[in-house]
Amino acid sequence: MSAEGRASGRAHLVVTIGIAVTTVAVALVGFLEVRANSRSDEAAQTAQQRSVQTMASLLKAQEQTKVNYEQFLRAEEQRTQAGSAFQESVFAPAGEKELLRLVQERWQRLASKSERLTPIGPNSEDGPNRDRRFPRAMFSRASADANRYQALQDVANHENSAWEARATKFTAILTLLAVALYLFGFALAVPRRVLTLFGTAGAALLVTGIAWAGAVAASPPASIPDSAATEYSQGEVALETSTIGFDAAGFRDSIAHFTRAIDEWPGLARAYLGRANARLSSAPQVQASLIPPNDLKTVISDLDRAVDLGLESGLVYEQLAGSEFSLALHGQPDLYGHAAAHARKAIEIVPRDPVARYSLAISLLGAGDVDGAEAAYRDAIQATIANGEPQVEEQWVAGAMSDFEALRGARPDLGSAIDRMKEFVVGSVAAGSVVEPHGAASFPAVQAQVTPTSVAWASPGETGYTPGSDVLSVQWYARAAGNPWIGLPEVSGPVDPRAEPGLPHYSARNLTSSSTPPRCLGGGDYRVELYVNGHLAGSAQASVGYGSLRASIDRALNLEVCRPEDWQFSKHDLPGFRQGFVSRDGSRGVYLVRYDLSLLPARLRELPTSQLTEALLDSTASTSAFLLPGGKLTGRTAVQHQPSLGLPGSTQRSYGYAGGLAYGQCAIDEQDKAALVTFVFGPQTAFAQPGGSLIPVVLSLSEYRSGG
Amino acid sequence: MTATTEEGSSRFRLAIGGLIVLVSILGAGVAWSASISSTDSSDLNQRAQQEYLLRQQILTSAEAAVGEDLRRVGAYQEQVSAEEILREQAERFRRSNPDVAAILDEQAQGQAALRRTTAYFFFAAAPRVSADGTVSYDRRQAVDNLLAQYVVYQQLHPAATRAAANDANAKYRRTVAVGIVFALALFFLTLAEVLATSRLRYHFAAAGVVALVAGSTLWPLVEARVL
Repeated sequence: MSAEGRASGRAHLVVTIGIAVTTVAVALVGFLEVRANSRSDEAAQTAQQRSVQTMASLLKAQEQTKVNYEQFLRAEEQRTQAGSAFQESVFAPAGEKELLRLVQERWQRLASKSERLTPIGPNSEDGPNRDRRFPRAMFSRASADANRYQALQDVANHENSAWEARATKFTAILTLLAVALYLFGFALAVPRRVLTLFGTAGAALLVTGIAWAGAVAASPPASIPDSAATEYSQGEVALETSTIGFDAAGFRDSIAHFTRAIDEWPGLARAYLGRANARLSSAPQVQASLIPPNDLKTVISDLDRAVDLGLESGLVYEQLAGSEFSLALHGQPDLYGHAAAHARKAIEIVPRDPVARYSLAISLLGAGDVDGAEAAYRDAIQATIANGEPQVEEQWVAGAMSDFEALRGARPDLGSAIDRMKEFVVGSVAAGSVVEPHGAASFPAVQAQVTPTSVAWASPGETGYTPGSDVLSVQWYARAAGNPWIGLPEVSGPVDPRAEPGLPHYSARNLTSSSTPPRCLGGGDYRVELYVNGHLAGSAQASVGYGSLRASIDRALNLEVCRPEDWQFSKHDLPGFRQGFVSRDGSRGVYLVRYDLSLLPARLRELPTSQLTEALLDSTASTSAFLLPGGKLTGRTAVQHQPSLGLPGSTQRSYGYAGGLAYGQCAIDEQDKAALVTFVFGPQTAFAQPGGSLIPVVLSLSEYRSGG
Repeated sequence: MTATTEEGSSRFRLAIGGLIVLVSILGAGVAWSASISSTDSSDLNQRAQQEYLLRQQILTSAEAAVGEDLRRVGAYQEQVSAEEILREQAERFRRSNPDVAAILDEQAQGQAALRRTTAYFFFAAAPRVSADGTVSYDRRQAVDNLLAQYVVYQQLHPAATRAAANDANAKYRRTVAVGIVFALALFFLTLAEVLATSRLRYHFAAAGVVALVAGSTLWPLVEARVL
């Protein structure tokens, strides 16, 4: 055989071996692809099952919670019936009184039986005393399992994607090997030089395919522990059962659970979003400017990660823009540009949402682009007016005011531009169209007054303001020590002179009645600004030191009160007639009582208001002495008649008991056909001015008027 | 090379060629068997999923129905307790004020009638009244009672079907693995065939035969699900 013939024979030999090796490689990669496809299918089915379990679990839990809630309401209704019978019995003739007491006893016993059918009680974990947004917390807690299944569904989907990607890679490798096989096969039927070319190319593809398959096979998708889903679910429950601005501990708990979930599975996008939400929610009114810089950095990083993992939305970009703006205030001016860029992204996704537009405007202003900011505010105002109901509009305006004040602290050099923009925003939204501030009205000596439930301003005189033709808008702010001013949307906004006859000398607004969940005004500084046609016409400031108080509104009695956080519902409550909050040791408390005027005997109803309120106050004090420590009255002070609870013709009197004092008030609401009686009791020193701990409770007592 | 040697080599190559044909045919058979197992596995998986969904649907429906029963428990408790309290109050007034006692008796009768009506409408499980008049309702028992009435629910065994699907899937994977063994046999036999003069060809031929025998042994075992 010639040398060329021997060489050709060797080449054929090598190619044939290449074909054999490729065949084995195809079989092996095929096996791996089958395995990857199986795992992918398995994960896809698991994801589908988790989806069904999420819904089934949610339905079951919600159904059970609804039943529990209905049982709680039934018990409350039964106690209301008891209260109604008691109220009727108070002024009933002797014979009737006995029967009514039987009815009262029956309803009370029924209520206590009904209470046993439900885990919800007035002072239970998710009861109305603990949950400011009752019954939200118990429904949120009921969705824990559904949240867990949802996270498990995420896990299964992730595994499905990972195995699917792996199977796809194996398919690509099989294609490479098929081409290699084709080249080897073809090489055997062509001249030697072409054979060498085809054989070399086939060998290159074969080696590439084997190396790639080895690399893919050596890096299987990581398995994700179920505990990540459990931690995520607990984080969600803690987030949902905590109230924005109130439950710092709850949000910390939520952050800890989300962090553990992320540690278990760094790809859990929802956990990043949840952790960012928990951090933002720990600030009053979700004001990012009140969050420490380090926390803001974490929020931004979490939101960025959530976006990277596919949770892109207008809200996420709005949160990013807000957080970056707030962090920029802490000496990082480069972030104003980032905030503006994210605000623009948010505007692309939710063009009608004014929040993103306000974020863009304030970020541009922070960056020193005053013209750009003015144009952005113009757009934001138009979006506000186009979208909003007056109450909602004020939320956006107050948010914008808070941002202005935060920026003023970081960029004092922008003071005049900020003032001008504030006037522009307030004046335009109040007028309902984009207008430049105008006029020269002035309220020179405004005074601000703040009680735990309401804010008021008074002005002895003004110039240049004509009620009816000029638009007056009031903006209230609060500030805790060392923090920037934060707008109070519930009590801010345009003032209607037809609804407020005290204008232009006096205007009051009730924060507790108009906030959701209801809240009280705590210690700190308060500021009011009066804008007439957008022009700042006057302002005033006040400071109070009430401490932390909890708002309680009883809509059945139509009364509201701010009381210490640790007071609990009284065991003597009769819904619709009497509600009380008492300290754990029973030494302090407040009772609210309501009488329907139609149930009073004629001899009482015919009395003048001041005598009727006095009679009712004395009668309630004597029949309700058992509510006080010691259960016995020891004396009383002289009667006073001053407007109280926001109603005229009222009576006030203090009653002594062993070791303390009960301060009573009674007022008549002719419109509601009701007499309202309140008692605040505790040691005498707690009523002493200044600083008596029960004085804020007395000051806060007010008739509830929906919307403030 | 002598004529005898050449003749022997030719016979050897012919034998190896025959084995290659045999392995190829067996490989095709394995591929067919694998495709059957894959189809079985896919069908069973789908059936398991459908059974699971139907089972969940029935379970959710039963839970909702029990929720309706649970709502009646409150009313039932009120009627049971009201009757008991009214009778007790009537006894208290029986001597001092018979008229009041008579009114209370009448009211108790009314509550008893209501109680009986409400009890009649519990359909998943009957509530129990303890000695102190507290009503209890066994939710789990009620769900079980309802599910027992669904014949279809009793016939659904998604876990077993899923296990069968997993079995079929495992068989599919094992059959493909047998295919790899045959591919190896093909590989070695090909080397034995092409290395016409090398003494190594006998070693490769031996390896190929071993792989062929291994594949031929494993295949029936996989088919019989011994493996």
